[in-house]
Amino acid sequence: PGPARLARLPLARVKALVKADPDVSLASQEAVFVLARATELFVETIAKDAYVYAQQGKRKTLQRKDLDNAIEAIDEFAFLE
Amino acid sequence: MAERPEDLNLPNAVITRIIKEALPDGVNISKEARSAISRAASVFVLYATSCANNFAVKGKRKTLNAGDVLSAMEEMEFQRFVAPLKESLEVYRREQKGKKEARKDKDKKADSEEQDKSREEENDDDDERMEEEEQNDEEEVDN
Repeated sequence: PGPARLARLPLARVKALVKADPDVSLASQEAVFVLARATELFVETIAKDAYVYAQQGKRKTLQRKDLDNAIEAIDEFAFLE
Repeated sequence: MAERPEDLNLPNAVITRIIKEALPDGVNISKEARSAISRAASVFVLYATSCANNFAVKGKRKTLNAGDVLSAMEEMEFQRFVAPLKESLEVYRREQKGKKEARKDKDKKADSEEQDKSREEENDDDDERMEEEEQNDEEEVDN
């Protein structure tokens, strides 16, 4: 994991997703920030895990099937199935 | 409040940049793969929110806080995110605190000087920042 940094994802967009949940009434600005950062870490993680499959296929371009393989193989990504 | 589908997407440019920085130099990503990751990221936010909300409810709180999100990460088996997230949160808190103090100093200066119409522009900036400050502690999510 890289150095502690502020979010690159715009907090307003993340907040829009949080608002989409009818069970959520209020969310602190800090919560939205941590969600944004967590999502960035998630994107890094899934990209790296998918890339392993591209490497196996001796490709330098990450393709959709690499994602699908990673999602199927890795427990933490089960929620995406 | 109805959200248009495109509002629930995260900006492509940012997603692409994060992916590229995570991968070795010279590696490309197909448009389809990038879209799939972007969609997965949105689903991640929705799932993490729902999970975090369970912790808020358990704690009999109406406001989802940072701790709830961290608990959600553990629940979702992303424990390895917790330490870097805590670090980021500390930096964020320091920055927010710095902003508040800068505003307090500016307000003190404004009070000690006489009212001046030519400073109307400056006051508009202050109003904008004051709105931000109100939102600092809680973001009201209308549902």
